[in-house]
Amino acid sequence: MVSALLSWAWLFTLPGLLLTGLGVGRPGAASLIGPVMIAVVAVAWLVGPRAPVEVVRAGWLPFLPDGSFHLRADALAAVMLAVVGIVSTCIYVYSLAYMAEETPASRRRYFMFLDVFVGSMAILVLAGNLAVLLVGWSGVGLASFLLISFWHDRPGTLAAGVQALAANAVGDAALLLALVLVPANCGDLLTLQTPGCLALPGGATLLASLLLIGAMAKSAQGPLYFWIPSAMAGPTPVSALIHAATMVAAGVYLLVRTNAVMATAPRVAAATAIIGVLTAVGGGLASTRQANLKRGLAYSTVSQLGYMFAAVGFGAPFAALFHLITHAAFKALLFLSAGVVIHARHGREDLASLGGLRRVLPGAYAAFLIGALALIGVPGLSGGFSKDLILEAAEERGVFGPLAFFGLFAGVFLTGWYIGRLFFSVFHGPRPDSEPIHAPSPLMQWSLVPLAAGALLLGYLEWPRGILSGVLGDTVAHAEVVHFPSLLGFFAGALGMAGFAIAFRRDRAAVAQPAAAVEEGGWVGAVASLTTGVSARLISAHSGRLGRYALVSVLGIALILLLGLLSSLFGISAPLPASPGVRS
Amino acid sequence: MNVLASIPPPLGSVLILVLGTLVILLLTGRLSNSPTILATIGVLSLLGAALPAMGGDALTRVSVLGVVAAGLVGMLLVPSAELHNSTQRPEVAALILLGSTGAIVLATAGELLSAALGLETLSLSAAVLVALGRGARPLEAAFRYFVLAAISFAALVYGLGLLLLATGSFAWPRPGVVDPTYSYIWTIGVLLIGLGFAYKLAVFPLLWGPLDAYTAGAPGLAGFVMAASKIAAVVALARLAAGAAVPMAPILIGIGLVSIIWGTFGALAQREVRRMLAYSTVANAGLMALALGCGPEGRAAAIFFVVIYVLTILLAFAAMAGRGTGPLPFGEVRGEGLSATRALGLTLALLSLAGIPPTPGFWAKLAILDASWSALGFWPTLVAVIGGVAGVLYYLRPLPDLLALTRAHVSSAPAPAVWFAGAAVVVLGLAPGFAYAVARLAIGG
Repeated sequence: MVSALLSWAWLFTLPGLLLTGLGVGRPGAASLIGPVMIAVVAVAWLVGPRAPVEVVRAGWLPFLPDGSFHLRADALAAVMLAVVGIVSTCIYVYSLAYMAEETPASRRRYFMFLDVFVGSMAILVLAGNLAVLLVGWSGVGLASFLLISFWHDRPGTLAAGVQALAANAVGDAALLLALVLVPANCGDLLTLQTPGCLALPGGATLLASLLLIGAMAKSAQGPLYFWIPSAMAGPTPVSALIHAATMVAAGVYLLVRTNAVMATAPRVAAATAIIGVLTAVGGGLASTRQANLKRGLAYSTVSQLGYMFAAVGFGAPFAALFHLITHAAFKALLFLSAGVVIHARHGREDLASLGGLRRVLPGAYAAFLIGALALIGVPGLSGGFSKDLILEAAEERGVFGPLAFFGLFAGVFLTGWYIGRLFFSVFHGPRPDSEPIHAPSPLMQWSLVPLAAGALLLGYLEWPRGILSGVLGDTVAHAEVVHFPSLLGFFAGALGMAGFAIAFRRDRAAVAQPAAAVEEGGWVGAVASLTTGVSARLISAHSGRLGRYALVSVLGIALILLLGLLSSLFGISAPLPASPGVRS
Repeated sequence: MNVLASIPPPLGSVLILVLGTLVILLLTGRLSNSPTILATIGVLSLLGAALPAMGGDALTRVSVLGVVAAGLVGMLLVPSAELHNSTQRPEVAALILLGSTGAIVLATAGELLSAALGLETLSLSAAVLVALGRGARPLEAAFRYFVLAAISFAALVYGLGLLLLATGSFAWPRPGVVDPTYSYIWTIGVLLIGLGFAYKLAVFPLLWGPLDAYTAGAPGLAGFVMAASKIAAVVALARLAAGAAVPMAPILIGIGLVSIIWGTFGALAQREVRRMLAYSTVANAGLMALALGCGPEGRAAAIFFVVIYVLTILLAFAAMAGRGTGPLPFGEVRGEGLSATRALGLTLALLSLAGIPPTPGFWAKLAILDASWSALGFWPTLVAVIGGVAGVLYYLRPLPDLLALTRAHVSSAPAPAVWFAGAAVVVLGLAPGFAYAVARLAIGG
C-alpha cells in the first residue's frame, strides 16, 4: 500500500495546485497538501515495508527506443523524496509568512509555481528511465525560471531567469542526446552500463559525458556555474528550496543514480572529480568576494555541490548522497535565516547595509550559527560526518595523486572563512542605521526548527549504526564507513574553524562592490554578445525590400539545383539506411 | 447513391468546401451584417468536409482533419478578425474555405498537376487573406508574399515540364522508372517541384514572403495561413521524398539544418511575440525538413510534428486574435488586457512550442530527434537538439508577465477558438502514442 502510494507521489501536488488555482482558502494553505503527503509517504515507506515498486507502461512514446512510462520507487527515490518533502514543507510554511505582503493573486501564483516544482522534482526522482527523467528535469527547470522571474516587474529578474534557462538548455540538450542514442530495451537508469546499452558510437565515454554535462548544468558545476548567483533574484524561500537544497542537487542525484555508467568510463570519472574539486575551491573563493548575502550563500552552494561531484568522481556515490542530504538541511537553514534577516531589514541584502543584528534577531542568529557550523563540518554536526566521508574518499582514491585531496581540504578552510565573513558581517559589528526592524513572525521562526534539528543531527543517521546505508541497501554502492571521531575529521574541522576565526578578526568593510543583478562577464558574456551579433547581422537581411528577397530566393533555388545535380553526379545520396544508431 | 459512393474521399471533402464557398459568396450581402450566421455556415462546411475523408486512407484523414482544424480555428475567429472593412467578412470566410480546399488538394492530389493547382489556390487565398488585414502593413506584406509565391510557383511549373519530358506523365515520381538518358532532367524537375512545395513550409531560402505574412496579417487569419500551408506542404514533401529520395533527401536535410540555425538566431534577436513566432517557425520548418529527409521514420516524425506544431501555433494565434495587427512587444504583454482564458492559451502554446513536457511540442521534438539520430548520426542531430532547446530562450520570455495577468476580459474575440485549439493541444499532450500511430499509418509504414 505504502509502496504503491510512493510511486504516485508525483501526483500529490496536483490537488493543492488546483485548489490554490481555483482560489480556495487562504492563498497557499491548500498547496501544503502536496509536500506534506510526499514527506509522510516517503518516511512511512522508509520506516515501513521498503518494498520497491516498478511501474512500466509500454508504448507511451512509441517513437523512442525506450518509450515506456517507467517509474521506480525504491530506497534511493524514497530517501530523496523524504528530503524533498520535508524541506519543502518547511519552506512552504515559511513562505506563508514571508510572502504575506504580496497580493493574494500573486501569492497564489507563487504557490502554484512551487507546486509545479515539487511535482516535477518527484517525477525526476521517481523516474525509471531517461524519458520520464527528462519530464521532471524540464519541469523543475521551468519552475525555477518562473520563480526566479517571479517579481517580473523588477529590473533584471527576467534576465536572471533567462540565464538559468540558458544553462538548463545546455543540460537538456545533453540529456536529449543521451535519450535518443541509448539503444532499445535499455533506457532503464539502473542498467545503462550493460554492454548492450553501450553498443553505440562513442560507447560509455560518450554516454557518461552526456550525463555529466546534464548534471553539471543543473548543479552549476564548472563553467556552468554562472546562473546560480543571478538566480538569487527570486524570493529567498525559493533560493533555499530550489537553488540550494533540492533542484541543484538533481545533477548529483542523476550521477548517483547512474553511477555504474561512470564506473565504466574512468576518464569521465576523473574529469568529474577534477571539475568537482575546481568548483569546490573556485566557488569558495568567489563566495569570499561577494558583497551580497544571498550571493555569498549561492557560491557556497556551488562549492558544496563541487564536493558532491568530486565524491562521485572518486567512485564514492554514497558519500555524495550523504552530503546532499545534510547539505539540504543546513543550506536551507542558512538561506531561511538569511531570509529572516532580509525580511527584517525590508529587503536589504547587501552586507554593507546589514550588521549588528545579533540582539534583535536572536532566533535567526542561532539558526545561522548552527547552519554555518554544520557547513564548515565541525565534528559531530551533520556536515562534519558527510564531508569527512568525501575527504576520506579523496584521500584513498585521489585523482592526480594527493592534489584533489589537498584541494578539497583547503576548501574547508575557505568554507570557514566565507561563511564566517557572512555571519559576522550580518550579526556582529555596529548597526549601519537605526531603522526599526520588521519582526519575524512565529511561523517563519518555527519553520527553522526542523531544519536546525536536521543540521545538528542528520549525521547520526549513519553513525554509529549505519541506518542510512542500511536503508539504501544496494541502490547506492557504499564502501565507505563513517569514523567518528576521526583524526582527518578533527583536522578538517579545526582548519574550518580557523577560517571562521580569521573572518571574525578581519575588517568586514573590505567587501567587494555590489554586483549588478545579472553578471554578464566572462565566457557567458562573450557567448551572449556573439549570439546577439550574429542575430543582428542575420535579421538585417530582413529589410522589407522585395527585390532583395526575390534575388535571394532565385539564387537560393539555383544553388540548391546545382548542389542537387552535383550530388547525383557524384552519386551522393542521403546516408540511408546505413544507420549509425544501433537499432533492432 | 452509387454516384456518391464512387467519389474519392478527398474529392468529397473538396466538393463540400466549394459548395460552402459558393453559398457564402451568394449570400454576401446578407451575411456581411451577421457574422455569427456566417461563421456557423463556415464551420458546418468544414465539419461536413471532414466526414467524407473518414472513409479515406490514413494520409487523407490526417491531411483533411489537419486542414479542417486550421480552417475551424480561422473560421471561429472571422467575426472578430481585424479587417479594413467589416463588410468583407463573408469574403474572408469564403477565402478560408477556398484555402482549405487548396491545401487538401495539394496534400492528397493523385498527380502533380492537381497538386500544383491546389498549391496555387492555397497561395492566392493566403495572399488575399493577409491583404485584408487592417492597416497598411498587411497589404504590403501580402504583396511580397504574392510575388515571392509566384517565383516559387514558376519553379514548380518548370519542374513539372521537365518531369513530363523525362517520364511522359505528371504522376508522383517513383524510383526506378526513369530512362537513364533523362535522369538529370528528372532530377532537376523533382528538385524544382520540391522547392515549389517548400515555399509553403517557409524554409531557407524561401522564407521572406511567409515571414512577413505571418508577422503582419490579422492574427487569426495569419494563423490559418500558416497552419494550412504547413500541413499541406509537409504531406506533399513527404510524398515527394518517398518517391524521389535520391535528389530530395540530402537537399531537405541541408535546407533543414540551415533553416534551424537561421531561424534560431533570428528568433533570439526578437523582442516582440509575433515576429518571434514568425522567425521561430523557420527553425521549426527546418526540423520538419530535416526529418523529411530521414526515411520513413523521419517522414512519420515530420507528419506527427506538423500536426502538433500546427495546432499549437493556431492556439497561439487564436489567443492573440482580436487585438489588432500590430506587434506585441514582450514588455507590453501585461498592458494587453488579455482575458485569463487567452493568457492561459498563449502560455500553453508557448510552453508547447518551447518543448516543455508534458506538452505535445516536447514529444514532437523527441520524435524528430530520434529519427535524425537513427538516420544521420551525431552531428546533424546535435544541430537539431541545439535548435530545439534554444527555443526556451525566446519562447518563454513573455511567460512571467503572461502568468501574472489577472485583468478582466477586454478583447472582443470569442474564446471558442482558444478552447478548441487548447483542447486539441492538451489531448495530443496526453496521448502522443495515438497521434504517432496515425502518422505512421499516413506514410504507409
